[in-house]
Amino acid sequence: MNAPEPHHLTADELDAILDGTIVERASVHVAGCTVCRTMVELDRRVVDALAILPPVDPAPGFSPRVMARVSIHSPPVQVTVRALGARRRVVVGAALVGAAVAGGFAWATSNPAEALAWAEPALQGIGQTLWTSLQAAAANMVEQPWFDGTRDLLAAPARAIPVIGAAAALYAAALVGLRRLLAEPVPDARW
Amino acid sequence: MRTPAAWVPLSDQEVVRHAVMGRDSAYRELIRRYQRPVFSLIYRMVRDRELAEDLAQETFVKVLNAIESYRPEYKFSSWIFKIANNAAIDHLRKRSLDTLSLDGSPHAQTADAVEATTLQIGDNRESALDEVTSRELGAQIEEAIGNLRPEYRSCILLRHVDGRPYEEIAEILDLPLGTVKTYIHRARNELRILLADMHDE
Ligand SMILES: [Zn+2]
Repeated sequence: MNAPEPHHLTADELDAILDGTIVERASVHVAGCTVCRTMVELDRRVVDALAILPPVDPAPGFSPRVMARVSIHSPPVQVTVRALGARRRVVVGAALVGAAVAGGFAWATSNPAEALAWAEPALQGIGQTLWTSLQAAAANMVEQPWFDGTRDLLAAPARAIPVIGAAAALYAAALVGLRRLLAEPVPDARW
Repeated sequence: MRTPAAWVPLSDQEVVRHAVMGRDSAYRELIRRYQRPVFSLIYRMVRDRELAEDLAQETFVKVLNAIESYRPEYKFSSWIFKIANNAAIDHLRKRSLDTLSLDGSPHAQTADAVEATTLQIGDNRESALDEVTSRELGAQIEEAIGNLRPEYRSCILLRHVDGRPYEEIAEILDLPLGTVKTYIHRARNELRILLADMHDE
């Protein structure tokens, strides 16, 4: 170098040339300065060689080895304000329903005749509904193709007998239950 | 449970969110995404396969066991590379494998280096470098990287092998941006000199 060169490439200018985002002053300078041109060429070779270095993989089974030493994070149960509100509403609702049922039961025990008079038509209705449902279920079972599996189950006598027996017992129990509910209350001995 | 392919469109942040919810397949996905670049970085830092394997494992165990402390405003890659780089640097320091650098002012401009390098690389060295195939150059550059001081090694690997931007490298290494740039330029200067020396021998 004969004269001091205050305008050699700065680090940023060299980067810009290597990145391809050439600064005008830099490219003009490089064109006329052998020192900087050599620098750019050598740097580019180094950068290109670095860029094509192949990645290196760890030995097979790396992931399971790591996983064996990791404890999976268990998230804390987060009770949000909204969830808390919803939970409170459920509790209040359940309490109200419970209170209504208990109140109704208490009233029915102290006024049995009146309660029965109220309940009789409803219970008769239930009996009717039960019979209709049974008929509908039987008809469905016989006719609908999606009950093939159930029909197969009933086709073998060994399996059909306990099933039919259980259904008959259930029906009989329901009838007995209804009769009892509809029976006249036994007068209290003290009356 | 998600299949490995189902994770592909998800960002690192989203995968981390699944991991924080306790899905172990999300942990495995993070390992799948980063085992290669993390191992490559550590391996080129310490230049020992078995040791690199141990340090890479330590890195993942540390990161994954602290997954709930990850802050999504930072890049996950910056976090894991920071842990990986620290593991490698700590090891190199402990083993005193540091190579002495041709140190100078931390903010030296390339112009000074230009003069210095040009004085060291004569015309004959330059032409010798020209004759090397890129494959040979690759092998030589691996060796030359091993002769850089650890900080320069991290910088040059993250910048020119992984192609990370300066800003992310500064975040990974906890260094000011200017220092990162200086380290990278110096590392390149040293690599040039080291490569020229190899051809001169
Ligand atoms: Zn110049």
